[in-house]
Amino acid sequence: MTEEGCLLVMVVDMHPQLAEHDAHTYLNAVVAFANLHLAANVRNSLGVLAANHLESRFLYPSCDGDGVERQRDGRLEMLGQVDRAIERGLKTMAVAAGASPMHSEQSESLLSGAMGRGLLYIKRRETEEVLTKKLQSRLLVLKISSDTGSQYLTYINAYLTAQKMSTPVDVCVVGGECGLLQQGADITGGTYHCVRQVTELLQTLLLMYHCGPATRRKMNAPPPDTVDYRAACFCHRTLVDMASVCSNCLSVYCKAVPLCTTCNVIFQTDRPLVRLSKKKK
Amino acid sequence: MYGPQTLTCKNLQEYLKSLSRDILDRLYNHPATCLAVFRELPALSRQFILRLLFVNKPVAQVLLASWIPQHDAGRDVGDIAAEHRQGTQVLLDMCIWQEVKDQQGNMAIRLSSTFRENLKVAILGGGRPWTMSATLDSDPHQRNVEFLDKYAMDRWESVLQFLVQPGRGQKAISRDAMRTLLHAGLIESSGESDNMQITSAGFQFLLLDTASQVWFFILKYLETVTERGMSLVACLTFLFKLSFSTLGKDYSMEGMDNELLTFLQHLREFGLVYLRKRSSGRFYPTRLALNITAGQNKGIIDVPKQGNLIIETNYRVYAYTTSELQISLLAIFCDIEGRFPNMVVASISRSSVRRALLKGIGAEQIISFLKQHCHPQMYKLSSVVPRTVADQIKLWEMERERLEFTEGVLYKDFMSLHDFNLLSNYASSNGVLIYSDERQRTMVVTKKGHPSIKTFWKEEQAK
Repeated sequence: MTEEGCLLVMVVDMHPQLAEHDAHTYLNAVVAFANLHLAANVRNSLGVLAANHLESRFLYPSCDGDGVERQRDGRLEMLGQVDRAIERGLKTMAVAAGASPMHSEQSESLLSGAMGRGLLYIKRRETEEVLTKKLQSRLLVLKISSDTGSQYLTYINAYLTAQKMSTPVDVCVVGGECGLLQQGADITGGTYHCVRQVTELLQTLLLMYHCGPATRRKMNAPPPDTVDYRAACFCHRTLVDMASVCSNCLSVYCKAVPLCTTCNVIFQTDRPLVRLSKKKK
Repeated sequence: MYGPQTLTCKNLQEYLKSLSRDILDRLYNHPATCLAVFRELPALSRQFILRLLFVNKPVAQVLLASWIPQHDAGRDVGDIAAEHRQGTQVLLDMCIWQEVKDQQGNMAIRLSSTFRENLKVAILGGGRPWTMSATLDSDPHQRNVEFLDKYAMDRWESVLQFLVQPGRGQKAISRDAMRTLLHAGLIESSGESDNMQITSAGFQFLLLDTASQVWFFILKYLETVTERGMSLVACLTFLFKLSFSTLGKDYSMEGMDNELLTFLQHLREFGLVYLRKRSSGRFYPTRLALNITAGQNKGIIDVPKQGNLIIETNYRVYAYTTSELQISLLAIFCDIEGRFPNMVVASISRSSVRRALLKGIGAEQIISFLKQHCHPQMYKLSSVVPRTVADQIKLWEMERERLEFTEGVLYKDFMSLHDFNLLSNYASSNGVLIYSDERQRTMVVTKKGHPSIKTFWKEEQAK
């Protein structure tokens, strides 16, 4: 029985909206899940990133090692370091967030950036371990805040990168559904699930997200929902059902425009554009 | 002719299954053992445990059955169901799951409460610390990781060295280590009591990777533990505790009884722990002891050993080593052609490989040995050991298996062709015919088939 270890990179949403839920239970679930992953196999490794509306931050493995940690209770020595690293990182993040005033325009968690960093970390680990077989890795995104389409492009970029690296992106959303992240899970072959209450989070994580894709196929899972594949337009970042698409760079616009703002192509039309769109109908 | 037995090494799970229920129950009283057991379970069983980790009530078997996916495009659901049954059976065998009746009287499953609590403690915290490390002040004679690695390798290699040359290295290892080697069947005494000789199993043992060697050795040691008057549970628990400790950290010997102190002394001899002095009250686990339970499948956590073999497609082997042990290991299946101050040139030939094969070493073992000790440069090639070399070694092994020996009974001097055909047809229809030659009217049947042929012949004669 040779079992390869798995690198799990967790991206944890730390948006101030967390206050609406039970933050204590949420963080407990995150830390417990991280510990269970590390303990389940000698070769498993972990990376934890947190993102709020101001920044994304690497929590574990932390670069500032605090030296000797000895066992304090009946737990594996090494696991204590995970808790402390996460705790320390979140504290500095919370202090920084508290110090700066809340801007209305930038109120969304920078999850896509954190996902990008997570993917970079996976890439780095892959190149570091050349002697072993291909590193198995996956990304787990925990989201708690509501979102708009403003990060649409970065999300899609991250998904396509993950798909190319054959890294599944698992998504667990607390509260309301999130179509954008659901797309990511669908594109990369990950699992998407929406939890209503924070109290259900840990059990859901254990049930659906603990095992790798190989084992997951052997377990019954809730039937997948239909994926909301609406794109966000490039001009207003709103999700649209029908849109105009630039013939040169495939940028999406909710209204017909004379000039593509992405690639600067001028659309040459004989007739006024407004009439053209009418004719379409 | 019977081929020599191949060396089989149980993994932790198989080992634990062979223990009695009573011992298992006592083992689960400690977080370290629970975690070690948990890690070694198949992935599906691990998932089962985790799903029930926070569920205190018994879970009906109907619910467990619902975990099996009902429809899956392109995959056989029957296979998955079988795997589920297997995963469940493992847990039941190891007394982690208990079958109970729930309130409605249906069959239900419950996670053993001691196992649950201790696993929770090991992973999520709580309970009492079990390594007694917090009570220690810092060691004035602090040892670093490099020192421990070197120490462990030195100790372990002295055991291997003894195996290679039992006569010479007699002094290097203690009587206890020798007893274990004898018990494991790696060496045997030939004639006089002092003269030891390595067995075929011993040769195979030498070619294993260090992690498997240590695990095999410890397994054999544990078998003799009760004879020595020590408690198996205490030793195993200590071993698991040790395997979860941190490298380069010291641990206190406080609270260990005499039994465990003896065990610790033995582990020290094999290089699993480092003790500066008996009275120092602290010990350092070495890399050999860490993750000991992972056995064969640990790979990267293995002792970081720089391989030093370069294998060329012309069957030449260059070993950049000065270690006597390495050279004698190579000499088992190579012809040493030249020795230089920092390297050895050897070549693999048919006769040298056959010599190894005669000792009971398999081709796979030779190839895996070459793979383990390859120079990092060799990893850049597509196949670490050149394919021609690996294939040829396998061919040489198959060459020996060209002849197959079967016991049989010879029938000859048939009076007529009809008689011969009658018998040979009967024998082949019964599947007992080994050989038949119509021209010489000779046939050979298996020994088992002989009586039935005899009665058949008598019946035919009587007609």
